[in-house]
Amino acid sequence: MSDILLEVKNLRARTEDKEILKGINLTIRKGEIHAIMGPNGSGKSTLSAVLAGKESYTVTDGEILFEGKNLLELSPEERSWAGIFLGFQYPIEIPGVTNVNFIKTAVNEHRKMKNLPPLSAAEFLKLMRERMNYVGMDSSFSTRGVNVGFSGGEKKRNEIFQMAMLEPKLALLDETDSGLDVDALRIVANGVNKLKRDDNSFVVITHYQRLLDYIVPDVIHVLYNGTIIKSAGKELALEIEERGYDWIINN
Amino acid sequence: MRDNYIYSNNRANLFRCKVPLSGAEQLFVVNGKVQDSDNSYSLVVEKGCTLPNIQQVIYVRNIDSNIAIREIDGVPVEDSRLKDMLKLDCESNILMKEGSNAKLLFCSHTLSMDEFETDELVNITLERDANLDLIIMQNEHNKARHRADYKISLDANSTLTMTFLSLHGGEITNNIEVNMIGEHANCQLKGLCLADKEQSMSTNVKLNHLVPNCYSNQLFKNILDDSSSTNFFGRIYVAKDAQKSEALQANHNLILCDKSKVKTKPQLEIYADDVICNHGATIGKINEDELFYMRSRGITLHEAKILQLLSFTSDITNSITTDALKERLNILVEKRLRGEFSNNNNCSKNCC
Ligand SMILES: Nc1ncnc2c1ncn2[C@@H]1O[C@H](COP(=O)(O)OP(=O)(O)OP(=O)(O)O)[C@@H](O)[C@H]1O
Ligand SMILES: [Mg+2]
Repeated sequence: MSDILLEVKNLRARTEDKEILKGINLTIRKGEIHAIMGPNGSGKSTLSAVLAGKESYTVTDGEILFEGKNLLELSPEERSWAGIFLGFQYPIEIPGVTNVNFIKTAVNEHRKMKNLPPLSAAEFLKLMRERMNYVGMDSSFSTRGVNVGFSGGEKKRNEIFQMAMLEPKLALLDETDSGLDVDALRIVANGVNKLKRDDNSFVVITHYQRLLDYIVPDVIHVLYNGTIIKSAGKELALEIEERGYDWIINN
Repeated sequence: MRDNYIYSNNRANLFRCKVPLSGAEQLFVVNGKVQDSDNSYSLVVEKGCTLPNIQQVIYVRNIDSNIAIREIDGVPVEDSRLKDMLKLDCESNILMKEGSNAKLLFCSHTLSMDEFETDELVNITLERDANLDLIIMQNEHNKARHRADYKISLDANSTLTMTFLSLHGGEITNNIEVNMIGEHANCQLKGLCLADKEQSMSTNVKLNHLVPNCYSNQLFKNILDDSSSTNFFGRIYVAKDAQKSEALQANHNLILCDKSKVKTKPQLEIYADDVICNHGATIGKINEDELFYMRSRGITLHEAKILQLLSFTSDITNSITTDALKERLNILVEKRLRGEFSNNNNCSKNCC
């Protein structure tokens, strides 16, 4: 069996007004960690959203294959069941829907797709406690509305918690590190590392090299104006930190 | 405390209600008359008394097929008696004497599929320091028209919390007139209308701050599907001497279908100069970003929409102070939003 998990070929996507992704090529193998960096507005969030199936973007060209299957035919929920997870740059608040109900609904939908019965209340609680521990979340968060009144850092921890509950094959983490203090950054990174196995993969979108001290990437890509203009090893992050992007863009 | 009513927990021949809680007192008002009597509903809670339990008053419209002959050999009969029975004017009275406390749940139902027209007047008087928590649940069928006028008077330091849950009904109109006649009165009005098909639901509020230092807060929400319509008219009046009044009002509408019609009209008439008044209205659709967030976690589109509707309704339903009742009413709202009501012709079954 091939060890390629995700293959993106010449992907182009647009909104009504403009083209944002202008021919992305990306191959991710099982067990790899990729980092995507790049200036503001270059299309990083758009790429992750298109991979997760956001319908407000139109894919005009190219292919996305996930374990060899055509992802473009699948709805966002089907992609989630297939094993894709998107940690949002700006997690959404859902007042009146508790964190516990939200994640329970999600977990049980996943189980349904695998022909498994819903978890019992006790099993679910045990799992939830364990996974909240991964990211140092207090149990009081479980009865609060999803992300409602959470601080920036708490929202990001909640994303990682949800990821831990769903155990995806491919996690796309869009600036999960922004807004985190040093301690929280370490906690979140530890959470990711706990979930890391040699058959799952991560794409971390970040502006800062400091995250990559904790989550060590195999490859770093620079996305600029809708295309990947450079891919290199983890040393690239340090160089970007020192020199910015201009030297890559102008090359 | 007057307590000359017969409470029954089960009138199986009429209706079995699943809302009641342990300890709740149930009372049926059938076509405007308290069960087994010739009187309209009237409650007086005496000075300083507290009703020990939630009292649930179940208003039912029903035409017993034994009384009215509807058809002979399959041909409908024009029966004037039947016509008279379909139209009903009725009245209820609640008097909360000084310092008294009560929690009430009013439910209205239509048990037979006749074209009922109900005109109802509800007088509510809170004397000084009285507290009343009143939930009004309306669940009638699509051919029923129900107009209710609530005339409310609030004296000093009294608190009224009133929550409307208009779950189902052909044409529902709630006219709410509140007169705040004693200082430091507090009036909390909340309402949720869930309208679909051809249903029409209206809420008209006249909130009159007649004396200084009173507080009022209105939150009315509507969800509309299909060709339904809702109206919200909300007037806040602050009299010239009613300084330090605080009056808040919000009306939020969520439309699920382009054919639905929303009208919303806030109106402020303020004659005092030292007041806090605030009103706002919104009309919105399902939020795509929120749906995507939920779907990206593997929640189906259908379920994500339901969660979003529940989220929209939550600040109304979650404000119900009795936990067990909150849970029951939440289940009813959820059932309604899941479309489970349309499976039954007789809407009363939905509370079972
Ligand atoms: N739904 C949309 N409608 C209109 N423009 C959009 C939409 N989504 C993205 N864009 C535009 O596309 C460009 C890329 O946006 P995107 O959010 O993908 O950038 P990013 O690389 O994630 O930036 P940042 O580092 O600031 O998060 C921006 O110019 C943005 O304004
Ligand atoms: Mg971004």
